[in-house]
Amino acid sequence: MRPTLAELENPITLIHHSVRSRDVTKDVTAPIFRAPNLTWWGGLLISLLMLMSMWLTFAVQMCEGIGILGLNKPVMWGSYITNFVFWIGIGHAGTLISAILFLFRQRWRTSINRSAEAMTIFAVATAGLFPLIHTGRPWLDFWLFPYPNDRGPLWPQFRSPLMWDVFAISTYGTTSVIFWYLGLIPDFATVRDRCTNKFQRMAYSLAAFGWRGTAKDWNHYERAYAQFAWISTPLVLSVHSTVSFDFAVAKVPGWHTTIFPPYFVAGAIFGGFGMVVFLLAPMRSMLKLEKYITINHLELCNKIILATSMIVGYAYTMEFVAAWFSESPWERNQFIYRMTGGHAWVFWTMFLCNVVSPQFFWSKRVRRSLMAMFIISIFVNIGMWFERANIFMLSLERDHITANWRMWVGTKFDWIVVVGSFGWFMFLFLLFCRTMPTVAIAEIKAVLSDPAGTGSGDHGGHGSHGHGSDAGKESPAHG
Amino acid sequence: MTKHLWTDLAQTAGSRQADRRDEFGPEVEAAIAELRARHGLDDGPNAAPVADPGDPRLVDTLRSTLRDMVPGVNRRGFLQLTGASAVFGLAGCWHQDPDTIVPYREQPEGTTLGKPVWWSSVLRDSGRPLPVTVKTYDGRPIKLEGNPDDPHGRGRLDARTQAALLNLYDPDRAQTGPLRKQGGAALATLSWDDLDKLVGEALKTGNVGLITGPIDGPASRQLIEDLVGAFGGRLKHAAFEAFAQDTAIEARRLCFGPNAAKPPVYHAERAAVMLCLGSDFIGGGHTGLYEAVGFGEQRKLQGVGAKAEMGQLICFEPMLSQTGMSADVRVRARMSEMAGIAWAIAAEVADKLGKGRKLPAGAVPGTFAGTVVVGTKEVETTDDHGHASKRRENIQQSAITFAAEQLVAANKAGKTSLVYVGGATHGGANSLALYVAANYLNALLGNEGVTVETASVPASAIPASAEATLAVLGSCETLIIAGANPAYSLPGAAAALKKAKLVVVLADRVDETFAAASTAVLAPSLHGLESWGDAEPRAGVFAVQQPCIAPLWDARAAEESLMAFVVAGGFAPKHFQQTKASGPDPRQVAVVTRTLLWQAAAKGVQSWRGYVLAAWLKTVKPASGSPADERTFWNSALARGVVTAAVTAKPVAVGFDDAAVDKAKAELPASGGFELVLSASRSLHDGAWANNAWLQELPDPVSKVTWDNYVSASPADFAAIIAALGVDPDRQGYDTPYKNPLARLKVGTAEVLLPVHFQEGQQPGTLEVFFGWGRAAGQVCTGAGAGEASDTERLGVNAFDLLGQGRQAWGRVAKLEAANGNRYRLAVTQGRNLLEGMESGPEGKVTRSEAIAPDDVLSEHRKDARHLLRGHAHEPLNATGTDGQPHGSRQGGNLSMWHGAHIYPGRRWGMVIDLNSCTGCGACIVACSAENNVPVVGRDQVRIGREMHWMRIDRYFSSGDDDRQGNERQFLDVEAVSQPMVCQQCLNAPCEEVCPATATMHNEEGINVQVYNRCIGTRYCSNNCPYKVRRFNFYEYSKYRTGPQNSGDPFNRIAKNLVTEHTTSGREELTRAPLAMMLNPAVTVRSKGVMEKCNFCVQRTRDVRETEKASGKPYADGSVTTACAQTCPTAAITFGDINDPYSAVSQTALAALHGFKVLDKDLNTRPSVLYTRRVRNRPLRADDTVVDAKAH
Repeated sequence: MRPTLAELENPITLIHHSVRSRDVTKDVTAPIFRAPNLTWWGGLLISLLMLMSMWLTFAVQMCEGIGILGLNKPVMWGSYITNFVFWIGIGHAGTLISAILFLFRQRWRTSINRSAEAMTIFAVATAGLFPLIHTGRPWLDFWLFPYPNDRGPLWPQFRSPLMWDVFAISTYGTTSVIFWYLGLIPDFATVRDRCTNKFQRMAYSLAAFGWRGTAKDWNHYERAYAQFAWISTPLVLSVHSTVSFDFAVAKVPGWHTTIFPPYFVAGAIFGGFGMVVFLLAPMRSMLKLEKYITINHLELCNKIILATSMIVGYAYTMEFVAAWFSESPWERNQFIYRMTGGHAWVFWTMFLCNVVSPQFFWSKRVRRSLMAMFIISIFVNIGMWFERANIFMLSLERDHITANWRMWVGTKFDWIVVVGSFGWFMFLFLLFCRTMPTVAIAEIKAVLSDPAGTGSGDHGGHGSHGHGSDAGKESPAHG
Repeated sequence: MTKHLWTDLAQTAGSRQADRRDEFGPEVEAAIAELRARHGLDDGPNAAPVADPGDPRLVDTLRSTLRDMVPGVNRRGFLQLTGASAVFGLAGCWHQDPDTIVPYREQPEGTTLGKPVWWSSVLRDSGRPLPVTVKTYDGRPIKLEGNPDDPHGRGRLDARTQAALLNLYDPDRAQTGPLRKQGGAALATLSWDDLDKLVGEALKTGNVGLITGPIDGPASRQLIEDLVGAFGGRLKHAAFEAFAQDTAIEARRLCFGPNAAKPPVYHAERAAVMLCLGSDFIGGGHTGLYEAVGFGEQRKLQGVGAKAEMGQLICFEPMLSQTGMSADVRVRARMSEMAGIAWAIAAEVADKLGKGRKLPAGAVPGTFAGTVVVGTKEVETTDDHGHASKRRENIQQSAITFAAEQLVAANKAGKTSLVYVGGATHGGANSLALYVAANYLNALLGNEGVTVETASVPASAIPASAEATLAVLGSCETLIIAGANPAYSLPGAAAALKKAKLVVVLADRVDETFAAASTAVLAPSLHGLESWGDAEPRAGVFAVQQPCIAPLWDARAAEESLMAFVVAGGFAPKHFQQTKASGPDPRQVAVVTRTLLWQAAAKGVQSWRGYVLAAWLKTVKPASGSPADERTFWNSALARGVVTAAVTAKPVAVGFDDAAVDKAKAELPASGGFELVLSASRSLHDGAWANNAWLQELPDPVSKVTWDNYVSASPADFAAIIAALGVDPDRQGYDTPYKNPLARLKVGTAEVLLPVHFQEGQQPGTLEVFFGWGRAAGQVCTGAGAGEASDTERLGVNAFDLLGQGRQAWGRVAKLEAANGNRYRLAVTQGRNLLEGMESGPEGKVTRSEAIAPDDVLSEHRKDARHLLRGHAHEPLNATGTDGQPHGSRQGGNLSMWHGAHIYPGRRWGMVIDLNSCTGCGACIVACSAENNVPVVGRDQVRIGREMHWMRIDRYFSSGDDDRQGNERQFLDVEAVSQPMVCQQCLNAPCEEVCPATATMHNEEGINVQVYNRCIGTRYCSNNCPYKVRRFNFYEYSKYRTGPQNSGDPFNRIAKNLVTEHTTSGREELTRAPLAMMLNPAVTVRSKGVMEKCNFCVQRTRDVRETEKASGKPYADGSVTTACAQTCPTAAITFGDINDPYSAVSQTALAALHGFKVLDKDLNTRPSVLYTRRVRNRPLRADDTVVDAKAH
């Protein structure tokens, strides 16, 4: 029974009241057992082509050297580092949704946390490529890890922010994967139990780790989940702060600023929610999950986008104020250059996409319009990429000694990799859509208003009266 | 700890093996014995008794033994194999080709493995000889340095002679022996004997023309005289050089009589005031290293405080020249005005000197409106609101009066001055009037015979002459061209060569002269480092050229070829007979016993070496007054390379002949277009060495353009050109992906397409194009490194084609038309940066220049040397400036996260760079490239800012014009500073903190070193380096000769190369033999993906320690220096131990009150490099005082 549009848009409905427990299992696991449609195959093919061209570029780069990119003397970090920070930022929304919103008992998270977490994992997987491949000799990247070696023994230099990155990202990646997987275990068991194909069952049995759904299982599960939420929560703040140290610690005018950690985190959450909306808006209809991922959920995401957009807007402004206030000629020149120099379009693209375009979300109609939010989410993603480019490349273009000033000009390989990284991400996400429950089945069942189909209880889930209805209004403040 | 662990493991392994041997010992031995017996190997009488071969026990033992020895596929073996394959797989990732090392069977006498051997020799740059010392490893020259025994060069070397090393190893040299060309037929090889026979026959009849480069040196001159004598007048000789000084000599003949008709020698070091009239003393042509050394002395600031003194340099010029950049006062003027200016100055000087002096009758002083600021005054102004305010304004004075006053003041103070006219721009007859005027001025001021003289011209010199060369070329059937290339650089020569019956070219490659002739043979000649010869750079300074390496290819010294031809023709010149004194030289025999080569001894003729030796014993030994015997004299001459003799001729003042003025009337060019000036390239000079990639990639000191020829236009004219193209001038910013407009330059009937370069300081209405490009003599100069294949993609055009028959380097009218829509991107290493080019709010220009390259005016410097340097600390160069130490005037204290700086108790290396004497010539860049195996990256890579020069010279302009927004005037009257930028070796090195791999760190002598094999290439260090002195190997640059080709499109290139060459780099772009022989074995060759940078020639400073250990003597200051400091012609760089308060570098730093460290006051990087700022010996201007007021 498909809900009517009016029902879906009813602001006080978390999950449509007609949804029963058995529907959840059926609806969510359906895509796993259904043959994929042409849209999915088309998307997979396109993203495959994109990612293959990226890997081919990596191969050429290995043969030839990193000179195939548009790097030059002052601008030694270009599109790769931009991609890296961009994708790391994308991951943040997932952790925020799954950990922080969990701890704050934001029950609306249950519909979107699974896909947001998956997005985190894939974003980290994408981001992780770039620090590794951007080095001049990627085959020696393992030297960045401290292990007993025969090179002296030579330890990495722990004063380098790049070393902090190594730990921040590997911690973040590991924790995210475990947290994500932990949530998946009961759902894998559900899928396993519905499998008719022998091999499929075998695979999901392995994945489910022998989950039986006993009280003891659930007890362990709930405890572990909460603990991982606690572990993940500081990571939301720490990872991007650490990443921002790569820049804040350096002497480059435009990098050398203390505002970076909070600014990067806000930007990350902003960009991450942009990506959540960008993915969920089409996914919910593609996988027919409108009952679970309702327009209310997306509206809440949009509110967070609006809030964080204003935070980053504030940060952009503060950078200028700080540059003016610093009386450092280099800082001042840097920010004048950003607005008026040869790459001013990068700055203005960033500004329009990140600060201006989300302002449309003040309108409720826009907030609840699928097409509008999809378009704005694309702008947010573009804006966030250019925000990174703006910080990294433009700062390096104008550093202390005027004789060194030079602009970064990307080559076709830069752009192939930028596009290819999206292909890589989309490829993984498309595979995820067809092989794993895209909505947390077990958690959803806990927030159904009428799980057994008795016809009672239109308002919220059991045991949390009114909470679900408030969530929509209050959650941005928590975010 | 790890080492310990390894030792333990080895012990464990060892003991286990020993156990096993014990356990299986008897069986194994038995098995071996059995095997030996089967194969009939007898151990002799003591052999162990052979066991029964059929014994089953033995077979089992053997099997188990073998199993022990062959790794089977058990778990452990599998893991071992996997590990090994992973390791070998990784090892495959290294792009290192195996090389064969052939060790000595017997160590050659006098060599120590790994230690260089130094030889002395002499090399020629466009005919001018320079004594050099040659550093060789295992018989390979790897570095050239000046000869410290040379009294004029003082151990320094210029950029082109530094780069001469690369010419030796140039793969484009003729490698296959003599070549013959007849009519339209393809080139054919022939043997040396056939060649000699062929040329000998041709010499028997008809007129023979011999064109050489300029000749000096007793033996060289004697050889020419012998040849001329042997032919009985049938052989005509002319020396040719692209910038032959015909006009200068003619002017001297007219002014001072025939005895003075020689190319003059200049002594800038003796001039208190130097006046350059449209001529580039440093970069432009006739002057070389010796003049640069003197110039450096003239520019040097002597004395401190109120006693500070320095020479003054006044330039009148249309284009911004290297000398103009160094000038204290620079006045823009057209070339056609120059003679008038000279006479106007002369008139004022004569007037001021009084004593009834008058200008010669025919002299016409020109009217010239240019002014010079001579001071400031305070004026009251009222603004729109009626508020009165005081403001300083410039006082202007006629530039002519100013120059005259300065010259007269020097004269009255009993000092001499120098009025310089000369160089490539003044080769044509239309400069005669200017030369005469300059001669008059020099004579008037008493400079003739002091700062300008001919007494130092060597007696053995045969100066070059274009006129004589043309005459010889036009009148002889057989032409021998040795060491000259007239077809390229002499208009009209190509036609004469075409008519000749036979042209014999003695050159190291197929050149334009060979190509121009219809019938020609090429006798490949040797590089100067492979052959004997001699030179006399200045009167009384004799230098011997000795080979430092066996000839690389099948080639013969040019002199030897000449001798062979003459002998083959049946002539017997005077000094050719073999004498006892010149017995066969074993080394020479080794060289010439290659079967095809001509052997002098076989013909009863003495070898060229013997010839040199005999001539030296005859001429130089008596002149030097050496009491030694012949062998000792010769050996010491070879060892020192230079023999000096007392000069008998003393400079004398000569009288000026007023009649000269009438004979030298200048023809002013017709108006109606641009005035074109053709100048010598400051890097390639006349293009003789255009195939030298080091020189091609050396940024021009003024324009910073590499690899290409271009036409310089003044800012206004440039704006007009791009406006004609429909390009918004504002978008042509200096750091946008900038493409120069292409324009058609029409001069007479010649028309060339050239990119237009925006040249600050250039007089509107004038254009400048450089000689030296457009050659076709190798892969480098024909554009092998070209990135975009198109018809516009070539290395410039030959500007000699624009000279016309009269060889007028200026005075030709040119038209410049924008070529529709086409653009060309010049490879520029530095854009258009004004010193105060940063708009940063109210204080605007001050902060910028103060932090990077501040300059000062002499009068202010005398009052207060630290004027404007308030934020910069004046402290010992080795001061660490930590919290615990007093830090004087350091602004902002020493805020630091780290408490206590590292102290270097032993030596700590440091450097002082004097911006006053730096002329930006780039000799240091080439020296550094040679010393440190710095690769050439090619035009494409320079375009995108990836040049690898460890040392670069930043060039900044500042402008007195306050109106800096969108006004071309700000770019006209510019002052320039050249700032050599090396790694500053910061004590608080920003690069070190951010490297995750510990690949950059300080060594115990305070040098920030780069450990290449630790570097993984994160490039973070470069981002964090405020000086951006780090260089990254984006590609395997060391593999390429002119940069990776088509680096913009690697897909296609890799695909193509993989198919044809099974490698990712094509054969044509790989650096292989013999270029690899040039590498300095003491310095690692860097691979791709690795960061590199200046490390103060760490290989040299490490040598100090070894020498100390070996000799037991402590290091003496000055016994080691960096390649850049060593070569600097103007001695702008001082290097040494800054912990030693008595070292030259510490003393210089301490005395330099006007020293500053770049960015130190703002970033607290604590560099070990101190700059002493540029001081200009000119009157104060209003903006100088304004700057002063703002700084406080």
